[in-house]
Amino acid sequence: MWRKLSLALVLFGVVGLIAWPQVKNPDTMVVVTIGDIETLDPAWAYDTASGEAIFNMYETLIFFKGASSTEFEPMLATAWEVSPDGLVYTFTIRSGVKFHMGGTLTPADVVYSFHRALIQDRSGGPIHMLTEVLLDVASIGELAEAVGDGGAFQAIQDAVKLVGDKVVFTLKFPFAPFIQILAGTWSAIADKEWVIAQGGWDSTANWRNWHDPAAEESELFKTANGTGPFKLERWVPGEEISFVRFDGYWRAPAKLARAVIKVVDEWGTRLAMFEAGDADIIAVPRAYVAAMDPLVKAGKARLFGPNPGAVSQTGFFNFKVKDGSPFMPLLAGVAKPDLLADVHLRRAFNYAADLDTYIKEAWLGEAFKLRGPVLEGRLGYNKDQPILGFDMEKAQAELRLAWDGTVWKSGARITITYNAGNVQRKFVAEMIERNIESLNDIRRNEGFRIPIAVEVLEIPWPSYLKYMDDSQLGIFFIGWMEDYAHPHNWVHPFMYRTGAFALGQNFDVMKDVAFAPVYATWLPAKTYATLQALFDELVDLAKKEPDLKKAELLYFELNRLAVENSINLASLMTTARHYEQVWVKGWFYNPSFPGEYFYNLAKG
Amino acid sequence: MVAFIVRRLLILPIILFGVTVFVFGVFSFLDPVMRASLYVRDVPKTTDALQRIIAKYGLDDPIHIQYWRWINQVVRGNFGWSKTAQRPVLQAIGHYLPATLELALWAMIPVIFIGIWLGILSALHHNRALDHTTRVFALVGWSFPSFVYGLLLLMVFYAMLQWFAPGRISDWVIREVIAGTFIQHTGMYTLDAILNGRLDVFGDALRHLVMPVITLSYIQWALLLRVTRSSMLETLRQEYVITARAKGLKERVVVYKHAARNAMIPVATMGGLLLIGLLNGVIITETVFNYPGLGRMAATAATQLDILTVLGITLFSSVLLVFGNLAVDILYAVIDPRIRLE
Amino acid sequence: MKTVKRLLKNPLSLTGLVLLLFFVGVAIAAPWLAPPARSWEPYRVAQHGFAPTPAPPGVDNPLLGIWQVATGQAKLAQVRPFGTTEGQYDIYYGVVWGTRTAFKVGLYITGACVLIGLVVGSIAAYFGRWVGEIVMRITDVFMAFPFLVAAVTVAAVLQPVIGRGVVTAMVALICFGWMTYSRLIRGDILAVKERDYVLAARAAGAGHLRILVRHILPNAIFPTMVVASMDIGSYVISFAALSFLGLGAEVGYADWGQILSFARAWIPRLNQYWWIILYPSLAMLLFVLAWNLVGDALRDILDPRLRGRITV
Repeated sequence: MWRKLSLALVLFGVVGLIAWPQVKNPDTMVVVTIGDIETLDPAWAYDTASGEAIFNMYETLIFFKGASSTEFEPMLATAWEVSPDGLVYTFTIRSGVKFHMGGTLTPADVVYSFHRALIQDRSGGPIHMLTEVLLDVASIGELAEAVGDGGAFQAIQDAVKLVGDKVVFTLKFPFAPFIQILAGTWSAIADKEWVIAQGGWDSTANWRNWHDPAAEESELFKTANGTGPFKLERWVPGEEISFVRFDGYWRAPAKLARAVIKVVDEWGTRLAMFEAGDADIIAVPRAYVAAMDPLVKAGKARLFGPNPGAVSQTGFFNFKVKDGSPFMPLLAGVAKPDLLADVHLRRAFNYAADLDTYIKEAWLGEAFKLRGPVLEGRLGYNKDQPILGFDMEKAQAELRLAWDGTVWKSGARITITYNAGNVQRKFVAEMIERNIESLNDIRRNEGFRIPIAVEVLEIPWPSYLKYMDDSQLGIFFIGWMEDYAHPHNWVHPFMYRTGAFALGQNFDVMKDVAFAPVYATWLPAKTYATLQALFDELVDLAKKEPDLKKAELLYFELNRLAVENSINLASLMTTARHYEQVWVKGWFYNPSFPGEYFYNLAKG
Repeated sequence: MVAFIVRRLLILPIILFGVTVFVFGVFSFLDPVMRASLYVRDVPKTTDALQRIIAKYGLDDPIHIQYWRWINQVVRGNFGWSKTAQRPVLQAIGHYLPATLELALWAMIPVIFIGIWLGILSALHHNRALDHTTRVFALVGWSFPSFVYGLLLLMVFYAMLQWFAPGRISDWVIREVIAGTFIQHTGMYTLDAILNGRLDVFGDALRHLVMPVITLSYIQWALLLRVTRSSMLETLRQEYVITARAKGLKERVVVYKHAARNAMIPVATMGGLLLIGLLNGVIITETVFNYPGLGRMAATAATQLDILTVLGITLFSSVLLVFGNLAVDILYAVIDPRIRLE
Repeated sequence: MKTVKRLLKNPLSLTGLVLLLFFVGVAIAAPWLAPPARSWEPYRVAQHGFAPTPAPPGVDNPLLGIWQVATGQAKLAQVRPFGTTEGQYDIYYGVVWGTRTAFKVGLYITGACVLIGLVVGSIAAYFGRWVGEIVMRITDVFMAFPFLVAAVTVAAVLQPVIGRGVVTAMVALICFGWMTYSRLIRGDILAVKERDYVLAARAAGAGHLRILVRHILPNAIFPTMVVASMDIGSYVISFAALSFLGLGAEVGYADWGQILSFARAWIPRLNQYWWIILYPSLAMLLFVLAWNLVGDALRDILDPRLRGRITV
């Protein structure tokens, strides 16, 4: 009996195996990528995978014009004005716009969406950008601590309000990038009645229950109702998300009937899906572009790129490593927490970085040296800012000067760390290691036996986070992606005392820093108590400067100080490549897009 | 026998307690910031983000308080939220279990048939060419890391020949499930295809199962082959076999009706080891073939330090193992009257 | 001994022994076969630049290339007998020094497991009912974990704490490998404890430890050896699996599993980049096969002793 059954199964299987149908999906765009969506709630999402899903389903008041990150066109707003003092933004809201589930867009929806985001302000989320500008606090919780929940509620009513049928934003200080922040997915507009019906905040002063939810606790975690050209079909976390065309869209309906974003972490599988025609666009890690190029040559794939991203990769020096750190720098075998506070040592490392070779080999020439924290293409980028190039003679000279010669004579140990999974950073660190350590041959000839040792360590993300947070890293390499295309988003993390990286660099170790302006000549020359104080003052001035010309000069000044003090190492702007099937139409690059914008795309 | 079963079942809660304590103990080596990294996947852009997350999830509470909190929820049936699977932990296990179950069940077929059949054959041709060949084959299988084997299969059958594909099922089947034209009764595509009467879905599911099943089963049947072979050799030397032959019974009857039946006794006890082998094997197999099952979820959860998911999977597999071993021991006692369970 | 003679007579185990000797030779000769660029970090695989695309072998005949490198006639960077992986890690270097890693991993882990199992099993068997019960329950708890899941979890948790590397993975594997030995030892001790010569020794006044070491353990050694020899191979495989998942040796360390994890990304082009997978998997296959051949033959020779025992 078992034999007959197994025979039947085998036959069934064989026939089934042969009989599978051929399927074509001409109306569906399939994107295969890595990285899972964290949530569909626009106020909660901060990662690009979630952002990609959200910006296809929801819309913002304004949208990026074409391929620009800094010019905007009307989307849900038809017109807007900024008051002369730069503090009041007034938006006229478009009429006749429908939500996916049937509601109609009203200005009250806009106000509600922003209020909701402000009271939600989840830990580690994007809303700090709004609270900083609209409420002058890092988080709504901080404000509530000062003025109570009622006071905070009142403050948001004043910050974003309805005046007649116009939506008015009142800023605490003039901030030019505010308009860009309004184009981000965190500023997306939801349907007030619908959100409340899902269990969302009812717009009263009793907002605590909806504050700082975990991702899954948000009522918009896995359901979406926006005004965008696509609506949510199905989301299976960790596998895929699919969208269908929204026929009630306020502009012409999308050309694609469906779009799918699949999560496949295995590069080999993605490539195979591409070759089989099952995927239209795939994520190609830098290391594997060699596998795609023959396809492009044979006309089976199309390449766009290199696309200058809004991403940089940089090394940071920690001027004072915390006690107890496993990466404590050593001088002559003894712990020296502020070893990297010596500018000659830092310059030596910069001179030892052969960035041209590194860019050519590891990035195929598709990365660009930065001249300070500000990214190329942003206001304040100074293309004439001189930087330290690769020069082993100068590296040696600087190393001899470090700590009055003690480094050269007595040897040292410095640790460079990078976070796991990023081979490019490993290579730049190892290249610098090799070059610095090559100087040990010269030292040995002069009779100095104890080596200057550079240690390169890969650290998994959990410990990287801990050590960075605790100021225990020595030299660390990591990447940064901008939130909006403005230099403040670069100098703040790199130089401001509460900036993401500067926090771990301890610039206040450098005391009595003399400053004489080179570009911003209206500033007085003076001596600052610490380097950090100097940076802070300039960052604040630049942030609040309404005159674009003067702001540019202030950023030039900041770049100059960053380079002259060598606060960073091997700073690069990295690029990405976009590969697609030859039948994909309409794609163009915008560095501010979190992912694919299906409205532009067509197949065939 | 009943006393034996009861004793084993009484020990189960102790074992589960020990298992969960061990997992919490291991995680207690981690700093609260490290544990917060599950929620903070990128450089924090505000200074308070980390502290707020640590406070929110109680990550800096003493470890026994965290354990107590967790246990409190568990007895209410709430195993927490799996950040890895983006679902409640229990739901996540329920979602991914059918895939792994399907893989394991299909893998059992070659394991049992090839392992036992070749084992018997090998014993019958003891020390001759066939015996040596199968033994070498089994040894090679035993010596090959399964992921290399899986990679090679992918290279040949997917990249070069394009016969089979990684993953679990093709896109068009998923569309049918969404559209409602294909009803999922069990979550296992092959079984559901039969229940829905859909040959094409069955074929598609099978097509995706071939390579993972071969990879998963190779090591298992190599093991089974060895045990069957030695057990069969032992049995063939027994007196009753010689007697049966002397009686003039056909060779076939002697071998299958008498010898093989008795030789299966120690093989049945392999059930426990097979179960362990399958549980271990799925982690690698599912990762290599991008097969969305419990194994892949376990690997991802562990690397992300998602303690709740890890606890859920560990508990689930521990329960499975304990019951599996118990079942094997009972089976052993039932088959072999010489064994008494005390 | 008789056992060794029988091992040598059996063609399969003879092959195994010859293979093992070959690997021992390679491991010992590693500094000459593949001279390290930095003598204090020999396990750091030689890297020829940073280009992301794997480079093919530089010579048509790999044996000739090896000869040239070993005798110092040519530099590794030009010859590249086995080609390179992405990032230009030299595969020949990795395979040669990976032999040492494989031995270290296999022997240390198995050794530690045997030792722990010995101690635990002895305690469980020798010190009476209650102690024995508690110890065996603890063993049960460890055995309730599926081996690889547990090792992956422990390795993932230990990685941030003690860093990614060989040690982390070894600790994780040892953590869940000792139980078999403790059960084995305990069973052997219990069986032998009541034998005549032990009772006689006890009557003659011999202490517990002496009895354990002089009488019980020597008889328990053979089954343990069989299990251990099969385990060495399987630990090398498990270690490779951990490396494959990113939880084993760090990138650029001379470990076969680590090199193979590079192959993963080149699967669709493996016919072009065949050298990444061929050499390391050949090395691993032959190494583990060698141990398994020896272990399998040992098992056959000692078969009557193992009847009815379930061992991995």
